[in-house]
Amino acid sequence: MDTRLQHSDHRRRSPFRRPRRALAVAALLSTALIAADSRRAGAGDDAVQLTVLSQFGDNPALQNVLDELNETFESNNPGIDVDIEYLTLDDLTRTVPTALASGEGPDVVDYDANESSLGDLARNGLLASLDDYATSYEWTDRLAESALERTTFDGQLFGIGRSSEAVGLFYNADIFATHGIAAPDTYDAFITAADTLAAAGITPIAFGNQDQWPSSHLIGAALHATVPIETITGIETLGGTGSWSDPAVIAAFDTGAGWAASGYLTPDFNAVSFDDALKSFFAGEAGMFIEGTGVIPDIITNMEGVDVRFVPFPMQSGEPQQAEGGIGGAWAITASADAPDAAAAWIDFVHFSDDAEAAWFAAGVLPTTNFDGGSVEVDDLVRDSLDVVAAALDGGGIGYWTGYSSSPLVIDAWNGGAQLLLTGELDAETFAAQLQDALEQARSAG
Amino acid sequence: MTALSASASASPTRSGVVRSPGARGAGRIGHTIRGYALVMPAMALYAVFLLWPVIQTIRLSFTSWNGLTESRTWIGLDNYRRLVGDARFRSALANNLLWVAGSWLAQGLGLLLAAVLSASWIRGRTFFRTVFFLPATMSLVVVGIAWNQIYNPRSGLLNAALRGVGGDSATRAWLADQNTAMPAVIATANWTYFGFAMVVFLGGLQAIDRHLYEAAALDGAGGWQQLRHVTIPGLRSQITLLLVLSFINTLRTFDLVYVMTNGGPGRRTEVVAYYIYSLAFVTRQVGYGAAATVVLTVLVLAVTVVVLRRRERE
Repeated sequence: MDTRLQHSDHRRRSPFRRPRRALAVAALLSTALIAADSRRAGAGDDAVQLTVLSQFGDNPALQNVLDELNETFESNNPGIDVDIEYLTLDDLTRTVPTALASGEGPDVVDYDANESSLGDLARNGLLASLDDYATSYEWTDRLAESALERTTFDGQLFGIGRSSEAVGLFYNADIFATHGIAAPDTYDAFITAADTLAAAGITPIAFGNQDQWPSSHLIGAALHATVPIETITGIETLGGTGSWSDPAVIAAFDTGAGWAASGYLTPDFNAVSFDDALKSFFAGEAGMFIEGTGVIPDIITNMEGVDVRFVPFPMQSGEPQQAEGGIGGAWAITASADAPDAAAAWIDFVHFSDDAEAAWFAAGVLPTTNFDGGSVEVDDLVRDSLDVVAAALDGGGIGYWTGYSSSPLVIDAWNGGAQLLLTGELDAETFAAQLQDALEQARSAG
Repeated sequence: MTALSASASASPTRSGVVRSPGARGAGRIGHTIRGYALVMPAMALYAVFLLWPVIQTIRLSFTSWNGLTESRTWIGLDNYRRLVGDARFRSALANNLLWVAGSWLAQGLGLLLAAVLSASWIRGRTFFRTVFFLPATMSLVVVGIAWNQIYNPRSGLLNAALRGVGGDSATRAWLADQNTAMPAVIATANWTYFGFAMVVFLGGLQAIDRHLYEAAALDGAGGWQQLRHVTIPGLRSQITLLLVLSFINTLRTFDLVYVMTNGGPGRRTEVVAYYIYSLAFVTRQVGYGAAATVVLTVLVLAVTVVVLRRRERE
C-alpha cells in the first residue's frame, strides 16, 4: 500500500475546525508520524523506507537527474520508498559523521571519496562494507581500477565512486581569439596567455578563495604540473611516507604563490567567494579558470553561445600529463542502515543502469565505469573533459585533491595557511612544515 | 484524651478553623511538596539540557575521543596540559579579548546616544531609538551575510562610499586583509550591540532623579561634571550589567566568524568558540575541544563572579 496516498487522504478528510483542537490533534499526529518514521516500514507494512543524503544541495541540475532516476526506481520497485534529502557538501560533511555515530543516520550517503572523509567514516565502523554487493552486482568488473582504489580502505570496498573528476584549465576561446592569444596547451603558452590578458586589462585567472578550499585546486594544479604522482601519493595518504617539506613540493607552492604575485588572479581573491569567481568567468571578466570537471554542468548552463574550452593543465617541463583529482563523490551504505539490500539495489540502479549512466553523462558527470558514452549527445565541453581525464590516465596519472585527501587535520592546516601563502604573508617552507606537522599527527593517531 | 489534648493546644487559623500542630506541620510538608512539584518540570529541563551536557563535557575533557566511536581513552589532564602550550588557543583568546574591548567602545557609543536621545529638545526621538535598536533584533547570520556584501572589495558599499568621497587609497579587501579583518568583524558585531546598550542606558537615565542635575547645576557643575558625578554613578547598575553581558557574549561568539571569514585570513579572525568548533567537528579532537570549552566556561564564570562581587561590595 502506498503510504504517501494514505497521508494525503488523511489531510483531505481532516475535520479540524477550532485552532486548539487542531493543535492538540496535530501534536498527537506528529508524535505518531515521528514514531512511524523512526521505525521505517512500520509493522504490518511491507514497504521498505530508504533515506538518502545527497551532496547536490547547491546543484539543481543534478538534483533533477537523481530525482528522475529515483522515480523510475520506485516505480520499478513498489516495495521500496526512497526519501532523498539534498544538502550542500559543507553541511553534509559536518552533519553526517555525528548522525552516523549516534546510529540515526541515513541508509545511503553521497560522501567525498577521500581517506580524510569516506575513509574516516569507514575506519570508525560507520559504513557497511560493499564487498558482497560488489561481487553479486558485478560492480567490481565495471568500475575503473582507479575508482575502486579511491574507495577501498584496509582491503574493503566502502563506496561506489559517483564521478571521475580532474582539475584542468578552462579558457574562454572567444577572448583568446579577440586578443590573438594561442591556446594554453603548454606551460609557456599558459604564462604568455596570462601576461597578455593582464596587459589587456582582463583578469587572467578567475579565482576566489574566501571559501578556502579553492586554493587546493589552484595550488594543486601547480603541484601536479611538476611533482610526480608517486611523490604526491606519499604526502596525500596516511600510509605513505612522503613529506610536504619535499623541495619539489615547496617549489610548486612557490609557483602557485608566484601566479598571485604576478597579478594573474582575481584581485583580493581571499575576499572573493568561489561562486563570485565562477560568475566572473561566466561574464567574460576573466580569460581562464583552473577548476575540476565538476563545474562543467554550471559552465554549460551559464555560458551558452560562448566558446569555452577545457584542456589539461599543462605540465611545466614536458613530463607525461598528470592531473589533480580523483573521485567526485561516492555512494556508501551506512552501518546503521535498516535495509542495506534495498540500498544496494538503489545504488545499482542510480549508478550502473544504462539509463543512469547515460543520464549522468548527458548532465556532464564523467563515468567511473567502463561506460561508453559515444552514443550519448553531450556538449563539446563534456567531450573535452573526457579527453582531460584520459590524458592523465594515459600519462602520469590522476593524483589527489591537494591537502584535502589524507586527514581532517591536514585539511585544517591547509585552510589555515593557504590564504596567507598566496598573499605572500606565509612562506612556502613554513606552510609545508605546518602541513607536515598535521600529517604526522594524523599518522601517529593511526 | 488525645483529642482533648490536641484541642487544648490548638490555635485558630486565619479562617477560624482550629488545627492541631500536627496538621499544621502536615500542611507545611504538603506546601513544600507542592512547591517542589511546581519547580520539578523546570528543574528537569535544566538538568537534562544544561547540567547533564556540562557534566558530559567535563568528563569528555579528560579523554581522547574522535566523536565517531564509542570507545574513549582516559588521558587525565593531558588535554589541559596541551592547552597551556597551544599558541592557537592563546591567539583565539586574544581575538576574543580584542572583541570585548570593541564591545566596550560600542557601549560608550550607546551611552552617548542615550544621553543625546534623552534630551527633550531632540525631535523624532522615538524614530531614532527604533532605528538604532533595530540591528539588535536581527539574526547574526543575516547580519554577517549583509556585512559581507558591504565589505566586498569590488561591489561593496563601503569601498564605493570611500571612492565616492575620493578615498580610493583607503579602499581594501576588508575581510581578507590581516590588518582589517578582525576590526571589520568586530565592527559588524558592535553594529548589532550599540543599540541594545543605548536602550539599557535610556532606561537607567529615566530612573535618575532630575533634582540631582538641578542641584549639581546650582553647585556650578557643567555638562561634563554632571555626566561624571551624576549620570555615570546613576548608571552603575546598567554599566555593570552590560559589561558582564558583553563579556559573556563576546567570549562565546561564533556566528559572525563562521559566516564572514571562517576564521581567516589564515587564523586572523579565529575566536575560541570557532576554534572549539573546529576541534570538535572538523579535526575530530572532541576531548581536546571539550577541555577548551571547560577553560572558556571557567574563565567566563570567574570574571563574571569577580565583577558582580565587586559591584555588590560597592
